Amino acid sequence: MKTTSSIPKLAHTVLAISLSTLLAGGVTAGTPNPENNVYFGNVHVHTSWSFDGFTNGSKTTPNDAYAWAQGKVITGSGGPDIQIKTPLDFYMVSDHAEFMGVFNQMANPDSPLSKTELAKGVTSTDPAVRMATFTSVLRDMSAGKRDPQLTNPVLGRAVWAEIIKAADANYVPGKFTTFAGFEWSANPKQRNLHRVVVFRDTRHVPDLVLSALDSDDPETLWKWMDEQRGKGATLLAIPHNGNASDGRMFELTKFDGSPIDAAYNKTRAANEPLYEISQIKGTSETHPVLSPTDEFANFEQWDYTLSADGERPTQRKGSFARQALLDGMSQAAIGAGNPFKYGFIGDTDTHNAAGSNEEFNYTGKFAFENNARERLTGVPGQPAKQIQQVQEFSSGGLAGVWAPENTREAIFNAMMRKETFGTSGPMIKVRFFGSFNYAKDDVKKPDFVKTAYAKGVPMGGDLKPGAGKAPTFLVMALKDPKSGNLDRVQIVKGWLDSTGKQHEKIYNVAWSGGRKLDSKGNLPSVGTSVDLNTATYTDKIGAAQLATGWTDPDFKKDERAFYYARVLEIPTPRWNTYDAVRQKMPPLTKVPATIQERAWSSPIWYAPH
Amino acid sequence: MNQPSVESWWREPLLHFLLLGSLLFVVNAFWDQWFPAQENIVVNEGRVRMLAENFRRTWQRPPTASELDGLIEEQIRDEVLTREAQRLGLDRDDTVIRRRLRQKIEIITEEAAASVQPTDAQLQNYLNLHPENFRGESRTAFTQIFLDPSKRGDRLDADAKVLLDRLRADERRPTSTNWQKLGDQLFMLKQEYPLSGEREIATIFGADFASSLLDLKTGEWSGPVRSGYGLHLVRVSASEAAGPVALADIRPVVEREWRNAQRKAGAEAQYQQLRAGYKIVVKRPATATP
Repeated sequence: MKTTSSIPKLAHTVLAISLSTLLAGGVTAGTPNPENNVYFGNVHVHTSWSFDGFTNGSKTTPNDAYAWAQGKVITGSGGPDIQIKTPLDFYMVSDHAEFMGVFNQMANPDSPLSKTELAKGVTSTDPAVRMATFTSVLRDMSAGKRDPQLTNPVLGRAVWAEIIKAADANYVPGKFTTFAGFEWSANPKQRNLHRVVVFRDTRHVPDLVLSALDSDDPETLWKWMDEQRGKGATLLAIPHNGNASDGRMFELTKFDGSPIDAAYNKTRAANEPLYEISQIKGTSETHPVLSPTDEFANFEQWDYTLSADGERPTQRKGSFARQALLDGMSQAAIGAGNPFKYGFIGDTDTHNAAGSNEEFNYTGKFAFENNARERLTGVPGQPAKQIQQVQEFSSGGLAGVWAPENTREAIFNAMMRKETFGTSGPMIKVRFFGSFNYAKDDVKKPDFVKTAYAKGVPMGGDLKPGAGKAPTFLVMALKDPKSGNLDRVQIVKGWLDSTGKQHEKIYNVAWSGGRKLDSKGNLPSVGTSVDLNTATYTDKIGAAQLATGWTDPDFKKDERAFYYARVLEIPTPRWNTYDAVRQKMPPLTKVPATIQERAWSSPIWYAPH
Repeated sequence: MNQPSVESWWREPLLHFLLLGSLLFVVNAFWDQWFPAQENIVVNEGRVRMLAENFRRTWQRPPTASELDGLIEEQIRDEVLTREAQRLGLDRDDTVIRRRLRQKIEIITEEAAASVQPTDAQLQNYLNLHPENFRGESRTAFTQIFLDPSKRGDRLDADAKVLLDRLRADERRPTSTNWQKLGDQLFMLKQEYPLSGEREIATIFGADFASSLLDLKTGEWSGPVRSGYGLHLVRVSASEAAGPVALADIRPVVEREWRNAQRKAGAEAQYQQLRAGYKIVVKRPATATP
């Protein structure tokens, strides 16, 4: 173990804080915490009720998904049972809207499944009679009665209604939050334009949700969302997997190819506060081609379109979040407003109910992957390209949300104001604040959080004008106790110079051990403690926690900028390494053996006024 | 005998019958070729209303006349192609279709089984039969002082021992040291936790730490206890063992689990009943060679 302090020798240092006054990290009383608690969860979860969930063998239901998130054992759909080690605080099943409609015919009052028949079948107190009645009803279902006369939607047996029911049944305000939602899955030419739609409550939800079978154009989704608002709903949409969009997720044209404009930008920003930066189908923060000076850019790049034959995307611009943040500021600079003012979350996109965010407890995206040998080397007969795609799947990510309490309203509102961060899976806790009025030492003060809110803005906010010449950012990160120590905290800055040219720079601001920055601001690698033969690591490197205050040394008051914090863990085994060791199989050669898990805060923006 | 005249031969009813019969036979034989059979596709008022209603629910306005025409055309296309596909047997061994059908019938069955309102007695009975699902958690209230490995390095274990001795000695004095100032800071976590469930504690400090607390004596400093962060000296101030729970306190949870059990049992009973309606023959191949 190193005897050096984890504190960098720079002015911005981590220091003694009287802890008892810092906010609670999870055990919370019933009263809302004005300084906010952190909650971890997922809102992008499929079950067998999604078309591609059940075709890939999942036997799970929304109720299973909620049970899993709360720490219960659920079916492995043929593979081993599935259970999370550390339960989550919130969860939302977002089955695909497409094909949900198939079930609508069950709402047919002309069918033998009519209200009265069903009621007769099920109100008997004797289960045997109940079943016998029901059997006869089922037997009566015949082709001759398949002409739906949809006049009484009250008998809605649509999947959507069941999804809402499952969300409500599992919602325990203060302890475990669920939402009603769905995924709008547009993929024109296998380019991913998917969005997850979240409803704040289930009192104002439509009878049917919008599917991309109607149109692949995101503007139709936003229009539909606006119509729902007109009927009392509160909802937001979260796009994901720009990496699989081949430049289309953040393109500067509308769906029909015409240039985006102020109206489009305003609508997009109003409907989409967040972007899902990391999930099983890869991380889309940035790409080495776009960010050649970012030594950590090449992280869990799942570099495919959604085509079945392993097609690679060719367009990098328009596919990644950091470039989108820059392009968004360029739009704002020409007076069109910022369409890409995205906060960040991480999520999963599991198709088997279990988010599978725990690297050491990975159970795959699809049900067939819940067999360690098959997710390592493929199902017999599976094409080699597909096997490779599955090996490159990352474990699920997590959404971190700073909210006063664990309720639908509090978590949804935090998402709207972007006080969120994403992780590649672990429960890394990140605080990030910005202000012209902070002192670097504010992070050391006992009432740090209170001061931070009073004098500045949290992640997701806009810097307010203030007294300082350059803004100061306060960042604090705590490791996940069941994952690796922390390597470093970085601040990623993007800005437009006086000519409108886009720039980005990464500042190392806090790190573990006695490492020193070189003249270019680079930090030596933290090294590794991973033993690939046993899939283990130690806490001999890295630190449990890092914090600092940092003032932008290159700030110019006339230049638009964004800042977000990136927290890196020390290397730990990637899921394929755990699997290979446990299965006594040879390690995979085409995917990394280790991973530096990480967290990304939502940005804080600056604009000259 | 008179020979029958030609005319009378033509008038023979039996001949008429045979000729007409043959003609009918020929027509019948070639009818399908001359005039292919046409099935009806009827898009009736109910269906049109449904199409319009679905559109309205999606777009919050009724379809225009041309949009409705388009929906109807699409409906016809759907029907034509579906029927043709079925005629070709494309649905028969399709895994997707079979799974969808199976899923639909399972959902109907399960929902029917779960739609009964349970009585308190039923729920109490369920609770009695499955106490393991509803066991209350043990709860612990504690104070922790953190020792940061990345700050103390090799001194970590020795420091922990020294600090523990000091805390214990202090407790025997009338005026003890302000323990809040001891140890290292641990961001975003507290030093003092009120009565908290084992799972909540595990979420923050890890499962090993949470289970270690159960072995500690109440009212005195002990440790060091290891967590994912480093070492902790811990004083448990109160603890409650996991006890039985009353139905009234957790009725919604029991009801949810009961419903789920009904759903599963009902679906299984239903399946067994359906299965009993079939005579099932399984012909296994002769034992395959390895």
